Amino acid sequence: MKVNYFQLVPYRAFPADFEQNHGAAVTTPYDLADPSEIRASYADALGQFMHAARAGFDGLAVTEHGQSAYDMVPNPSLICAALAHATEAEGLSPAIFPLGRSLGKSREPLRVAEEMAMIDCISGGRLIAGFPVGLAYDSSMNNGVPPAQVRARFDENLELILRAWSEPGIFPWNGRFSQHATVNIWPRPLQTPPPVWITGIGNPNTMRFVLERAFGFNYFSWFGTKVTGHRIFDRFYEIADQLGKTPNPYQMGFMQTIAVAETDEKAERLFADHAEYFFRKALGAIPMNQLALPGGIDIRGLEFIMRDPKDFGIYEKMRTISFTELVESGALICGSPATVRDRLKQTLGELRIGNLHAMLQFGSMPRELAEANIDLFATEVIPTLKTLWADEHDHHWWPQSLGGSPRVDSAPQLKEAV
Amino acid sequence: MFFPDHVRTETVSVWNGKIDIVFRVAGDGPTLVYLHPAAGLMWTPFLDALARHHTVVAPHFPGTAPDDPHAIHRIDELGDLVLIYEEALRAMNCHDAAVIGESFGGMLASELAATFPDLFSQVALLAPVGLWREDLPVANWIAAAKEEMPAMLFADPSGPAAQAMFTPPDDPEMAVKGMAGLVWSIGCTGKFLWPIPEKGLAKRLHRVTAPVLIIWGAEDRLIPAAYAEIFANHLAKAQVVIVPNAGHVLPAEAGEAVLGHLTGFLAPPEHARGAA
Repeated sequence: MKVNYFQLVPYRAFPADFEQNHGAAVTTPYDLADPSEIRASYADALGQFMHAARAGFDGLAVTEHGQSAYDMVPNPSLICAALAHATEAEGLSPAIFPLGRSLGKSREPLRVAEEMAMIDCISGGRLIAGFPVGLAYDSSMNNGVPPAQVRARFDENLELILRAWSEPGIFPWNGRFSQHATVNIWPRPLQTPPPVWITGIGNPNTMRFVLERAFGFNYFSWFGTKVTGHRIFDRFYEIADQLGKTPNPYQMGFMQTIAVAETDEKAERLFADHAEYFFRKALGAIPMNQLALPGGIDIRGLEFIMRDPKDFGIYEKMRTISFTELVESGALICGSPATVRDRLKQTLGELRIGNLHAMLQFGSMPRELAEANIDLFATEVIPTLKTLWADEHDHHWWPQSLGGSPRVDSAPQLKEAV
Repeated sequence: MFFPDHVRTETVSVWNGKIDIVFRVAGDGPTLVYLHPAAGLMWTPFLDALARHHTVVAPHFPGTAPDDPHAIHRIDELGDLVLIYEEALRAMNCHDAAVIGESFGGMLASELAATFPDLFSQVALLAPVGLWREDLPVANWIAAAKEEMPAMLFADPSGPAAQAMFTPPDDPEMAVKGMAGLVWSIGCTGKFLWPIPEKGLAKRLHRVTAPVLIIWGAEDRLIPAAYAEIFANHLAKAQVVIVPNAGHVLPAEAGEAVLGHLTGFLAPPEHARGAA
């Protein structure tokens, strides 16, 4: 089992009634922001990532959200470049995992290829590259890409990036969305190539694509692990079966919000308010018409979701959700080390997951509490999890300089738009 | 997607065999092309009324006809779209016909008339999109929440026209199909409108030589009625009609009034001369 530290960079000082008056992205009024708190958010987030690296986490995972108050990270490459250097300087070697560089919105795919290559070079080959298609509000509302074009742009951008990393010589690129007479990026990554992960929310087409290309598959459990976990992963394994593939647990990544203290009672007392802050004022405050835009999901997918909206789990009640409901749905695992160990072992075992992205800072949680959460999780929970899947499978989706096995074949191929 | 029995279906293959355009056709008389709004083609009493004196020829926007939703992914740009429509209309012998374009269909009719000035004999635009002024923002219906739509589209958001559009059918599967079709249609047309529904039409409108009738609902909250005069100012031969107590969906909320104005405008030139 690989255990990565994951967090967003949230604005932590909104008033209690924020979500009744505002959305968390695109239109959040900036006059609510206190510049000193904004500055502290970055100092604390970078500090917490480094704290986790020192505590022995296997990797540091960073996502991307533009024009967003709940995650002020419009480009994870910036955070990851800082972490790549800071960990090198301290002699630490976590994987550096920008898991959210959305390619459906990118109008500069070569810049993405170059940034990722830089991070790989700065970190000495510790990059893991995560390329989601992208959230509707970010790709289309923030970046102006027509929703019906997002997927095709993702497909093309990914092919260009993989080729720019791996082709030894110069080549021209005549794409539908970008044209480059001379592709010859400096630097190329140290890894040949870095492992690639795709984040999905349940779309079968994305799962099929991930399996056919042998990429890693990430799923974020914000909609409630108990409600959506089996739906999503069972669907993935069913598609794998149809394709005659047997994914090993190391191909699967899973983000889980976690809070741990000495006892269950203390954990609830310390973390309940911060968890409610996060779910109500972040995802709960993003209206559905920003998460899904016409044209982004094809008509068959729309019919599927409208007949059976359960992939969205607890989303509908998130704006007013309580701590108890968060725990019951599995969106939050909170309690003593024993409670958290049991719940995680059960979830990761049942869903056959080999990479946990542990979200240990969320919402309004201050730095000292986040670091206490990181410390207790590192000392009391991680050692138990490490034995899961140990020595049973090769990890082809991890940097070889950190013990990963060679990549399985995922030769790029140009695809028709889907 | 329901079409009554008296409406025929004809399909033409265009764009070097890559795109099939599906037409719905009904009525007798001179050909009248109808280009539907972003919500898709629905056969309404308004079209039946037009079909009493015309042969109404109404193409489905690529991707919104029942059998090939992915056709939309084979059209990259607005320029290609205009050529595809022109090819399809010629294949249907619609050249030199009159055209009615509603909302998004109005932009498409304007683009066609500007690119091919001889294509249409007359151009009627019902609250078309296509122009933009920062002090008169066009509402973003593509990203709007479902509950915002009635007030955006209708002068009377709780009136019978709004009720008819937003009351789902009793059969749950019909409701799913209808809603998915509507959302997908908005997404397909939105490919050529996002994120601001202005793609250079103002530069091209002066090329339109056909007479143009612009009809707008006085209470249009999707595209302010002030755009009627802005359109007219770009055109050589345009007349403007503002319909009181009507919002954006003119045929549903002010069908009789709109038909009245269209009837006079669409009368054949010799008939118009005789009447004068």
